[in-house]
Formats: sequence, C-alpha cells, structure tokens
Amino acid sequence: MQNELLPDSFNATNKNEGVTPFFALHDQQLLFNTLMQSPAFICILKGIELNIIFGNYSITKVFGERFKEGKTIAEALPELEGEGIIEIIRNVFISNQQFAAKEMPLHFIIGDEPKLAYLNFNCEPYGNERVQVAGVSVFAYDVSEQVIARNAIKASENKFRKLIYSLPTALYTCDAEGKIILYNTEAVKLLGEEPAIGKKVGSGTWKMCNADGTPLPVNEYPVMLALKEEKITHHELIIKRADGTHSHVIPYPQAIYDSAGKVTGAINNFVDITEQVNTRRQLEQTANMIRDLYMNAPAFICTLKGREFVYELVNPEYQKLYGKRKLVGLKLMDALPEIRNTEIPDLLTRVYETGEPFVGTQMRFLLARDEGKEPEETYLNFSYQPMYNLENEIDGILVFGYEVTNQVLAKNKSEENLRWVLESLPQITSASSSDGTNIFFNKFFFEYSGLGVEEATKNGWNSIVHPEELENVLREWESCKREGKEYCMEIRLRRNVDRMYRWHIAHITPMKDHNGMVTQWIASATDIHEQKIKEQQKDDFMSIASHEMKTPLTTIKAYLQLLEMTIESKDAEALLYTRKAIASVERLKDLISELLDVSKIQHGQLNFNFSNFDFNEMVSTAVEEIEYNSPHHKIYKTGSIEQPVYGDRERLRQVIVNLLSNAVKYSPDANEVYISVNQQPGEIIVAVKDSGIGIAAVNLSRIFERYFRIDGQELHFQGLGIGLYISMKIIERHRGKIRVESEPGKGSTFYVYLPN
Amino acid sequence: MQKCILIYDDDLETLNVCRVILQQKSYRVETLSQCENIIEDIQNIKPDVILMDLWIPKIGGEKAVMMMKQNAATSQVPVILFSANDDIEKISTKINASGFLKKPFDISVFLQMIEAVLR
Repeated sequence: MQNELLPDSFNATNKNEGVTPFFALHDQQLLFNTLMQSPAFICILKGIELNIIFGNYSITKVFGERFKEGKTIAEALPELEGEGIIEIIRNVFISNQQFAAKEMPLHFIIGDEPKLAYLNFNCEPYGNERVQVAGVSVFAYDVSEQVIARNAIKASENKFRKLIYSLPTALYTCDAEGKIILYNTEAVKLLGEEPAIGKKVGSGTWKMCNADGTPLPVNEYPVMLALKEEKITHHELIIKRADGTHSHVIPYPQAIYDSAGKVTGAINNFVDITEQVNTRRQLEQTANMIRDLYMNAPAFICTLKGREFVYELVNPEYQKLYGKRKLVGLKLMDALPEIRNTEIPDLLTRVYETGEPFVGTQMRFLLARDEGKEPEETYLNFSYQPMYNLENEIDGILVFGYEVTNQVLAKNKSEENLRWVLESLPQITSASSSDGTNIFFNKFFFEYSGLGVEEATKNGWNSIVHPEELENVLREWESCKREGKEYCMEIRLRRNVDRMYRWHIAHITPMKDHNGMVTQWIASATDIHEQKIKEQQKDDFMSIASHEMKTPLTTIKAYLQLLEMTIESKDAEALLYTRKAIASVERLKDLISELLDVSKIQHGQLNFNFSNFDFNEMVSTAVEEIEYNSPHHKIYKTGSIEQPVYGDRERLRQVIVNLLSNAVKYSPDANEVYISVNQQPGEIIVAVKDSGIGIAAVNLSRIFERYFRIDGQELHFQGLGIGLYISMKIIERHRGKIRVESEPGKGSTFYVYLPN
Repeated sequence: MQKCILIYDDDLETLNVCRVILQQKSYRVETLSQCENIIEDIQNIKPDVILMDLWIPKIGGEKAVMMMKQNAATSQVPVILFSANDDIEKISTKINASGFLKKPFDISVFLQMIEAVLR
C-alpha cells in the first residue's frame, strides 16, 4: 500500500534508491498489521507542526475521532499542553535525537474524564530521501497499572509503618532470619534501647527470661518460634533491661507470609503486665497477711459459707474451742449438733438475711470440747459479720470473738464475795442490777420484812416503805438511776413481826466499772428508830412547851375579849386597859411562836410544806392581818402574780407578815406602807417599803442576824430580834434572797427575791 | 332551833371560856376532855358542829376525827380543828375538817367560823 506519509523504509515503492527496503511487501504488510494492532500506542507525526499522519488502533480506540490525520498532536490532544511532552517530541524532530523515558506520567482526558497514565515512551526521528528528518514516530505503552500498584504498595507500606510506630504496645518485626527490620517507640521504652536494624533479635542489651527468672535461650524467643511456625504459647516473660530494671510481658508473635505462603518474617507484640504482676503480688501478700492473721490471732475466727453455714476457714483458736472435732467442710449444724437447740442458728440466719452484724458480750455457752466430753461453761465475746461476694451479695458469715470465761468467773467470784459481806452485815441490804431489777436481798431483809423471794424480787423495798415516804422514795430512785449518783434518806420500813413502821436511814450507792458505768446498785438500811423517837421527843418538847404556853394565853385572850365586850362603851378607861392587855397577849403569842421557830431552825427541824398556791391571796391575807392589828397604818398593795407559786404558803405568809409588821413598827409617825409584788423572768420580787426611821448603813448587814437588835435608838422597839432571822431562813429555804435598802430618817425598803 | 356545839379540849379553862363565848350567842354547848368515845358521844349529843383540840391525850384529836369520819353514822358532822400546833392546816386538809382555828384565837374569828360551818 502506498502512503507517502509513511517513512520510506515502509514504502517499498521506492526501488533501491539508496534506501534499503525494510521488508518485502508481504512482510511490510505483516509489519503494518502488527503495528496497527499492537497494544502499544504508535503514531507518526510529520514536520515541525507534528502533524498526525498515522495512528494505530490502540490510539484510535482510546482517543477516538480526536486523533485524526492532518491534525497536529497539539490539536488532537490539547490536554497534553503544559505537560511538556509535546515540546519533547518537537525537540526530537529538531535535534534528530531519540528520546526515551520510563513511567512518564501524563494527564489525558479520555471520554471527558481526566486520566493519569504512566507510559514507557520512545520517540524517534525518521527521514526520507528529501529531508533527513521528516517527522517522528512515537511508541508508548501504558504501564499505569504497575505504577499504581507499586505506589499503593508503597502507600500501604507507609501506613503500616505509621501504625507500628504509633502502637501503644511494644512491637518489632524481623525478617526470615530474625533480623530486626522495624520497631516502634514503645519497643524502645520496653527494651531500654533502640534495636539495631538488621541485627538479630537477642543481640541487643536486653534479655528475655521466663517468669521465674531463668534465662530464655534466643532460639526460644517468641519471634524465633514464630519464624519456625512452632506453637506459640503466650507465656508470661520477663524482659531485663541493661539498666537493671525489668518488665513483665506477654508476647504475641506472628509469622509474616508472602503471597506464596512462605515465611518472610515475623512480628512480635508485647503487652506489658508489670503493673498487674505487681498488683497480683500485693494481693498475694495481703492475702498471706490476712491468712497469717487468721491463723495466729489470739481470737477465734472462722468463716461460714452459704446459707447452710459450711465451715470454710477455721483458725487454730477457733478449733481449740471444739478440741479435736472436725469442722472444716461440714455444715455448722452437722459439725456441732448441740447448737441446734440454741439461739445460734436463728442469730446466724438473721445476720445472713438482714446484713446486720450481731455482737454478743459475755454470752454463756456450754462447749463440749470433744465428742462425748461434758460441756463446759464458757463465756465469749463475739460477733457475726456478713461477708459479701463480688456482686455485693451476702454469701457467708465471718465469726470473730474471744473467750472471757476467766474474767466472768472472776467477776462472779468477786460478786460472791460481795454477797457474803452483805449477808453478814447486821443490817438490811439488797442489790439490784444497773437497770433496777432486784437481784439480791440479804437474810436480814427477809427476816425483817417477812416477804417471800418472789415478792421481794418483784417489788423490793416498795412493799415495806411507809406510804408517806413511798412517793419520795420512788422519785429519788428514778433520779439516782438517771444520774448514777448515790442517795440517803430517812424512811419508815414496816417490820413484819409487829407490823410497826420503824425509822431507818436508807443508803443507795451505785457500783461502777472502770469506765464509770453503773454495774449494780447496793441499797442498805440501818435502824435508827430509837434515835429518831428521841429526836422526835425533843421536837415534841418544843412543841409541847409552845403548846403549853399558848393554852393559858388562849384563855387570857378570850377572857380579855369578853371583858372588852362586857365593858360599856362609856367606860373608856376600862376599855383602854383591856385593849392594851389584849395587845400584850398578842405579842406574847408571837414571841412564843418565834422561839419555837428559832429552836426548830437550830435543829434543822423547821417544817416546810411545799405546794402550789395563790401568791396574791397569801399576800392579801397577810396585809389584812397587819391592817387589822395596826389601825393607824394603811397598807397599799400593787402588782400581782398570775401563775401559782410553788412554796410553803404558811411560811411565806409569815415572812410577809414579819416584813409588814416591821414596816409598821418602825414607822410610828407615818401611816402608809407599800407592798408590791412583781413577776420577773424566773423570779418573783416582793418589796415592802416604809417611810419610817430607817436603818443606818453600819447596821444594814447585821439586821438579819439571829439576835441582833439596834442599840441606842430613841424609841425602844419590841421584839426578840429574831423575826428577820427567821424570815431570812425561810426565804433561803425557798432558794431566794432577802435584802434591804435604807436611809436613816427616810425609811426602808425590804426586797424579797423568790425563784419561780 | 338551837344549834349544839360539842367541844373537845383537855384544858378546862379553855373549855370554860369557849362555853361563855358561845352561850352568849345562844348556842347550846357541850364540852368533853376525852375523845376516845367520840362515836358514842356524837350519837348521844347529836352536835351540829364539833370543835376538836388536836393535843388531846390518849388517841389525839386527829385520830378521833378520822374515826368519826369513817363511821357512816357520824361522818356528816362538820369538824373544826383547834390547836396551837403549826401543822394544823395540813392536818385539817388531811382529815377533811371543815376548818381550823389557831390558838390563841380571836373571838370574832371564832364566832365567824362557827357560823360559817353551821350554814
């Protein structure tokens, strides 16, 4: 076929004009077909314009109509502009030099899609008879796939490297001979050095050992085993570093295979378990400590597992409680059948079910130390504690306790001694527990009271205390129990033999332990009847004396009053005399009363009857009495007390009368006396004010003394001088105070303070 | 009707002066110095009020009053206690007396009390 665009060497029509035909025509056709159908891109470009004169099927298949004869290459593939390739081709034309390149990247646009292709490229000049270079031939084939694949491999290799470097576990890889290829930063930390690339594993400063510390031969290193495709068991190993430190690790080695299935290397990943190993060691240590504690403690300890309370752990002390009897592994009920009838099973079940620990102090047990032996009396302090599993459920009970038999028996012995003493004392004694339960009466009690044991235990002394003292006794007993203090009181107790109440002095004393807690109360009563009677007789004497004296006074006063009524009103003189006589009788009566009171005060026998009463009414009564006897004075009362007052109404009235009568007595020239009552927070204040002769400052402090009377006064004032003394004593008994303010010539004010 | 007042006291002079005072006011007065037979006495004399001295010997005024108060036939008769004793107030409440009078007494107070109780 003739084609003037083709190189002469292709045109066989030029016969032997210095050009040797390439091939014979037949061969040319063959060559042409081959070229045409070659999978490579082949094209021929003419002239400096690089006009397309030929392109093979591969080109036209890919580029289609674009690649047309007559177009320049630039026109056909405009996307190549800027790639530099067109210039290179032109240069071939100009310089007559061949150009070849491998894996040239070129950006084409194929079917509107941009495509990057890697081409192996060959460009040659050709000439014909007329010119040396008529054009260029281009021969290229697409090696994109290989390039892309190779890049992908490179990229994935990079990714792989990055991954390895960043792993938080130590990792290295080696080749088929065990020489290190790759490692990460964690591996450097773990091994204590940077592994030498290309050097065999095990040749560094670091060494591997078994978990027990024995050195590991290099051919047993994990990677070496992996390379040999031997079974890998991920034992715990130790890596010892050059600086002396070590880490516990578990290796995870893996062989690396190529596409043919041949081992090309291995990779090893270490998980550092040093911390867990240490923790495990600590736990073991702790467990051992606990075990030692269990085993050697001077207390008995055991654990009971499950609802059936199977003995799991029994320490030697606990075992001692039961001698040679088998415990571990047995259910509690089976090991110790005798506890079936005690409260122990219920206690345990309660602890197990409620989770509330039980503490028993000085609990009495009958322990049979060996099978068949007699149970012995034993006292134990112990506790049952619930034990929890990992799910926080109760799965057992911890028993902890110690024996206190000796102490209890010793205490019992000392109690026995105490009893013996109480028994032998010739007086009534009893003992009760800290809460008041009666536990002991000595024989004198029973003899005196005639009570039976049951009655005595139930009611104790209350059965024989005089009803008048019983309320007091009960109240004081409650107070004692509350405050843990002792008390002493005089009470009458009924003697059985003659049913007579006899005066006793009763003592109640607490016995305390070393913590100050009351353990027992001891009560005792001593017969003081004879003495009391004598005392009463003395009392009685004063009362009798005063009574005897008042008797004739009664008749004197009565007759005088009758006389007063009989005398005719016109006999003023007679009337006056009579009235004066009556007044004297009054004074005498007062003096006798005062004497009696003083005597009682001296003997501490002044009787008081405390009750709630109307204060205002009491004051009014006193005011009335004084006004009645002192017609020349008017008494002005102010203020009032709303609530009832607790005190001895009669005695307080005595005080008010005393103050009022003093006020009247010592202000003969005046005719007014003021009394005010006032309720302040917590106290009552009574003030009695007169405008009489007053009291000199030097005497103020002494007027409350027993027999004090102010000397050298113009007027002689009657009285024994004991009225204020008695008043002060009465007020003192009410826990109050009495004081006076006074100015001679102006008057005095007496203040009484009564706590309320 | 004339009211009858029965007075128990161991002092004769006291009894006399009381009689004088009361008779002036037209009361019938009976006086006794012993009180053990108080129940009988009341049944015989049928007083409207009794004046009882606490310090009477033998059983004492307090006990005598308690006795007659416990006896249904005599418990209704009002009793006024009479004494120089300080405890008179306490005792009178205890035995349920209708009133008390301290010795030495004031005649008008005495009469007022009698009148009040008789009402």
